[in-house]
Amino acid sequence: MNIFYQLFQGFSTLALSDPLISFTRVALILLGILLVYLGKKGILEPLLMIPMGLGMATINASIIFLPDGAQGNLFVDPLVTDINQLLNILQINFLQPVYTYMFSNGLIACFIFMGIGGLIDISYILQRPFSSMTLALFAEFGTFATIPVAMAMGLTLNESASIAMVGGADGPMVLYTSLILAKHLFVPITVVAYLYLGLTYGGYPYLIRLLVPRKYRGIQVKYSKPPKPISSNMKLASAVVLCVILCFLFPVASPLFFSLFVGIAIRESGLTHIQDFIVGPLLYGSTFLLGILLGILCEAHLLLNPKILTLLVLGIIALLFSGIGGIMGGYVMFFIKKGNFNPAIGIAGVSCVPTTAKVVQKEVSKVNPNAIILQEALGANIMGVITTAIITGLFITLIPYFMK
Amino acid sequence: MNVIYNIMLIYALAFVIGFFVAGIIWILYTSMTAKGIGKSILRDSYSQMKQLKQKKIKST
Repeated sequence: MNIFYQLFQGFSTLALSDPLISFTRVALILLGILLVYLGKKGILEPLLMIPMGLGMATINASIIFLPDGAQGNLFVDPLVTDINQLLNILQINFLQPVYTYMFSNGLIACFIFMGIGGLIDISYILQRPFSSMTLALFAEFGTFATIPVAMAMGLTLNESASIAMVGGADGPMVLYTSLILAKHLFVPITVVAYLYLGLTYGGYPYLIRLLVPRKYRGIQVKYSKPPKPISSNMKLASAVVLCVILCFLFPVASPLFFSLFVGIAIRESGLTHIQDFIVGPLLYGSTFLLGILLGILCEAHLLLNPKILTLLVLGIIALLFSGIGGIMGGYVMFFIKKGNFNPAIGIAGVSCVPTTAKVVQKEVSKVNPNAIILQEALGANIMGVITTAIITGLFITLIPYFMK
Repeated sequence: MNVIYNIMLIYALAFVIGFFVAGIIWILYTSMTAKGIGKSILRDSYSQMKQLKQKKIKST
């Protein structure tokens, strides 16, 4: 029997662990397989869910006994703090270099932001900055409304602000904020955030149908005169000016601002080889590594934090509040423009680029196949990214001040 | 209660900064797409001067 346990350590660690840990491991293996299935079906974002689901299932199956008798794995140890121990682990755990040098310092978030910058066209936000900004600010409602709820559920202000950032629906920002404000919780918060960002794809269509009546959902926005054309030189100049101003305002969030605007600058400069690199290998490579790491971090020992259930509930609340806030913003624009605005576009202010914009267009097309609102939705979406970065800067700067 | 007040304050600040940024974008856009008044006056007077010169040459 002892040889069996030595040989098949995945089973032996399962049999010899605390029943709660064993049960959680089995549940996470099943959840991982379910995520792969839902990703393949297109119900959740496949780009993230397939590597994440497989990583989650694998890590919980491959727990072994380490030489010191404790249980562990050969993938990553996110809790190591001692430098000598870290140097040893870097040579053993194959994903430890990616975690230490890319994930825990926010580099992977910046790479993803560069890729997003290289993909987005800022023409619409230059033409109509105020309407895009209004939608984006309303769609941040969840980011603020969740904080008092989280505090009522027993979290500190730093922890509450970190989990509330899920309402911004911007994975890199959640990662960055939780790294600075609540480092001890950044693994579960980031996992919860990315898990739920996939859910916006499946859940927001129902919210749109619930809050926007059919007759308003099919509205096509009309313009009295066509917008003036914008050259790439203008977009480049705007990106440079905005980057410098935002970095002046919030130096704490400057790595994120720089990453986003350098992507835009490369796109508008016509540096096609570099653009191809950042929107291709860099963006997809970073997303793939992020997916794998998030899955691997879903190990039962790590996730069995007493606060995890609270975080799961708060993540949903934040995204729900932001979705509702976004649609309220859509209604505000609808009244300002005297009916010449589709309120459903508001939910695209939740800055999950480009998922929420695609979701809105899909829902609008179902009611009115001739209505094209993707431009307006992407404008709100991109402005949402800028707004979330501004709020990240505000939180990182002001929350520690309020904690004193 | 104090927390809610602080959070509302930060949200209001986000609105102020957001619209400040939108204002900068609007100024950039309008200034970059505006028809250069000074430039066109200069161009018009230059073409008038050219026409006058040609007339003078023809007359002589």
